[in-house]
Amino acid sequence: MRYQIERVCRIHFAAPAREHHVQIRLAPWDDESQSLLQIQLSVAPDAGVAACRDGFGNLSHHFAVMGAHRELAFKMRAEVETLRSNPFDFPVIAQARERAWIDEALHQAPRLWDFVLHQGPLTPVLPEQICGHRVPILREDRPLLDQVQEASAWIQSVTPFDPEVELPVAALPGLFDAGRGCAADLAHLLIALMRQWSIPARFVSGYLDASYFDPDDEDPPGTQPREQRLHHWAEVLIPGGGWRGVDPAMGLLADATYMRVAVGRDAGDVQPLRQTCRSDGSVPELEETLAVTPIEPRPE
Amino acid sequence: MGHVVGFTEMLRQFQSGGAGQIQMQRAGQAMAYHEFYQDDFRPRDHYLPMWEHIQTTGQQILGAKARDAHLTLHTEGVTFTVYANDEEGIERVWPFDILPRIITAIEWAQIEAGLKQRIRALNLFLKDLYHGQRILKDGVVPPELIYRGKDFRREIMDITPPHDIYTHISGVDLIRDEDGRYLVLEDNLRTPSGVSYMIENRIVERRILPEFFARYRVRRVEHYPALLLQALRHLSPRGAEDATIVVLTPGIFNSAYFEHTFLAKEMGVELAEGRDLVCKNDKVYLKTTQGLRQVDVVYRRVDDDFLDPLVFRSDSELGVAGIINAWRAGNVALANAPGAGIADDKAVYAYVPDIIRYYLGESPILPSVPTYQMTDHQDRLYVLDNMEKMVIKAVAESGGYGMLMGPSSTTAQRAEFARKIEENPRNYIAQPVIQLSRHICYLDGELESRHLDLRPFSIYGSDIEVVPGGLTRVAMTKGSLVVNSSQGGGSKDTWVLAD
Repeated sequence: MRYQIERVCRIHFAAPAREHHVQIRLAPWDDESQSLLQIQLSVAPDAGVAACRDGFGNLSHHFAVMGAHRELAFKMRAEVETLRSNPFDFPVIAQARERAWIDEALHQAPRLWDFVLHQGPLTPVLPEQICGHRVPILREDRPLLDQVQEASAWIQSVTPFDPEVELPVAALPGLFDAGRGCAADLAHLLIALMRQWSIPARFVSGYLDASYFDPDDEDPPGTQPREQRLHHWAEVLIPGGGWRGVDPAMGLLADATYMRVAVGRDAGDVQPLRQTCRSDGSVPELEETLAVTPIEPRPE
Repeated sequence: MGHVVGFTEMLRQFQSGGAGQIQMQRAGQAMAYHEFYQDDFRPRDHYLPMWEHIQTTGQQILGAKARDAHLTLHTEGVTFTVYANDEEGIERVWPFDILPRIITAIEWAQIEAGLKQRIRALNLFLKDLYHGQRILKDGVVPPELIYRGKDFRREIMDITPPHDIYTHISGVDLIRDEDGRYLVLEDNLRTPSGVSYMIENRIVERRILPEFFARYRVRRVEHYPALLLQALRHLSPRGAEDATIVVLTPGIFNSAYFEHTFLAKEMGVELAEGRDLVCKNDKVYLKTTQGLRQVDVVYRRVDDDFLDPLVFRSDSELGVAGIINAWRAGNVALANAPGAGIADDKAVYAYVPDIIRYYLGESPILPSVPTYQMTDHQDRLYVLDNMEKMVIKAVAESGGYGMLMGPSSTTAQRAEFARKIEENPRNYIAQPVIQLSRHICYLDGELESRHLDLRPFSIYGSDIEVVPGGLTRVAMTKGSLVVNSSQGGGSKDTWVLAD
């Protein structure tokens, strides 16, 4: 599928800011699961934009506005073709060989260790039980992908996704006490669980097809679509399939309706916007809009 | 207990050839190597001219010279800051013992070769870690060790620094074991400090004791700033001739601020704080009264965590926003390179001999101290059962902080460290207590023996240069093995003989 993505961000300052440095991760990945066909980035006030890849392979852009300004705006427009229409479309590895496959992947690419070893406030070591819920353990008699999907469903059942929650509840056990979480919360919990199983798992931020923001069947008639926003899910290294997106919030495996933007150990590595400036110290206001629009396939 | 002999008593012992009459060591403990004495209590050959001079001049003159030295350091403002228990730093005059440590040319040749070998291997290691990671794939170093390391900076993966050099300035700590062998105690590859004190020690020594120098051919150390400047120029992306170089300091509250000002002054370059620099279009500029001036090389004395708020700690006000992007773009050189700290992680230290063999195909010239990894179950059990015989160190700390000196520790301190080890084994290593070598010091009118180590400084520019000398740090407390200045240690001038 082809999508056009338009992302606009405006930063307002109460008092003039200067030496304003901005680093953004908004551009979709370009790999075997999706092609980045084109990208344009504009900044006002005008600034030279440079791009680079961070340590996780994410494409980031940076620029600086040196003079005094009260508002800074940037707009990204990109076109992406997603290629993974069937997330199960990969050669199956015999269950008995799954662990060996993962060990070999770690051996060949030591960078994967980051996604096994990293623990922190967002992806902590999980106890055997959390608030009365027994944390799933890895069984050797079942295929890994089945167990990952069950773990994702377990997370949904104990901490339902609430699209109205904007800021991550993040740390356990607060997440369970709250009884609901945003997509990032659920993804972090799945990642923590996978790492407990010694399976590489990473945090993903990205865009979704606009239909995910449409009203549900339970919404009253005439309900407007929800505002589109950046979504978060997990990717788990699946034997034979490599990185596969698992979205506990939606209860889905990521397919061609998911567009990966940034990956990392947790949300801290994929921050869409980092900025520093000299100003009066007041917190700037941020205004963002996102529009993901399917593009009709071009005639053959 | 350390060995204490009164000045007159020692003269008498020496003149009467009283070898063995003084109990030098606590019973049952390995005898520390003495730099000054031979086993028969006679000065070693290379100390004889100095000793003869001391005998001739006597205690009074030595005492007057020690006072002169202290006064000179005070007048010159040679100070350092000690921070303890989160209290405000206390500025102290640099503690200096007037009796120099002397290293023979033969001994130095081995030290120099060993340090060059080690630094070359550690640079290849860093380049590999931040690129292809061949050494991890080949199973020489466990990936877990690196990926759990606090100073492994995944943010700089695949960035290639100018000339593939990561550790432009190294201060590798050496000790001598009971047999007099030089061992590497630890590597300092981030922002090692102490070089200004090495030079000040020499300046004071020359001024106070010129007669000592008349009896020896001592190799120079005062040219260190010139060597450093040459190496920094070599890194300049716009060529050495046009290089603008700055020393980036965290500011006046840093304990090594004296050294930052000293080096900037001696090299004739600007001393800058983060707010004095600005990045624009992936280039670094110095703000001057004539406008912005492009900077080619930053000798940064700001830790990685604080270097760039866009990449590392976002709350840092000490660094320069955008400097990592400028470095990545090849428009500025950073010395030392960000990420170098993983190679001086004390848990990685145990693998350095293997790292040398892996990259250079050579045996290590300088041996390391045996090290127990707390991540290893058997090692951990052994150490927890024998804590009173061990030195336990936090892997990413320096300056003597986060360390347990087993023999002088209390039960409560050992219990506290045992808890910390169990909580985070990767964060600690343990080493058997090595009786650091000793040397005579002139303290309060007496000649007393104290333990010491040696930090030679190496500069990696067009080639690796090891400055002949270094900072000899002395544990000023009787019997103590802790030599760090921040823990009350003193210092000596270090003489490397030309022949």
